[in-house]
Amino acid sequence: MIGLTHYLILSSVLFAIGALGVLLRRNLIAMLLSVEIMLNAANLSFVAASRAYGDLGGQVMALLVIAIAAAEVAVGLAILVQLYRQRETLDPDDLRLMKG
Amino acid sequence: MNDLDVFLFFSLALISTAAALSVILVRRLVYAVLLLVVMMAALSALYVQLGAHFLAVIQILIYAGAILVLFLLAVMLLGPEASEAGRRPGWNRFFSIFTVSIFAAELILILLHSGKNGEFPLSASSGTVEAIGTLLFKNYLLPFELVSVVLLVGIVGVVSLNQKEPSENKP
Repeated sequence: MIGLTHYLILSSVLFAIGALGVLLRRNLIAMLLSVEIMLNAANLSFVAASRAYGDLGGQVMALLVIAIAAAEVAVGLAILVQLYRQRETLDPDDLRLMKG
Repeated sequence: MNDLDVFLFFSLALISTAAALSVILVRRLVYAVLLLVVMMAALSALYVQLGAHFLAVIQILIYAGAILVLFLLAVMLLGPEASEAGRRPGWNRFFSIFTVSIFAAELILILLHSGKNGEFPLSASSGTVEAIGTLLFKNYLLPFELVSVVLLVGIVGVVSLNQKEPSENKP
């Protein structure tokens, strides 16, 4: 039968996939996409816990996370566009201006 | 809870996991964004199964409708040469996969041994607009207002970031 643990395991698998994407990809847009996967995994665990404990606060929290994710994506993509215009690259390994 | 719910949960879990894996593995960014839409749709169906109907609609409207369209816009603005994503070489890749699999295994082990597997009745709506709205404007009013401030800061930041320099306009 399906319980809270099933949802939490699915959520942690999705979170691990997102973390793997941040570590493996060498493109800043792809890394932002992986961060979105991680945020959605956190949201899923919020909603499942809200269901299991009968407390709607988890769903409100997931709503707030979605709003924060929207702000994060807007600012992040604006920074990326400016970065690409100035540097002609989106590879984080090439952005070593502050390296001594 | 019947067999249909179990079948739905496992098929949706499979779809979302496969979509998330292909998001991080596929090379072309446009495909990655579209696969992320598939993952959002599967997660939204899971929310419906959990009774969070309002959140499921919000997930489709905001994530698939606004955030991923923003991603598509950025990918198309930056052009195809920016979207050819490389992979990290050798050792780095090995250590990443090693660390993340240890992290995931640890999480799953802890969850399996925590004992609390609360069975709950699925497909009974609790997250209606009225219930969530009441809670949001009564108990969570301060976080709600803080989120509006964060969104305002985001708007101002994006506008000022993408503003053309005054010296650029009159060469």
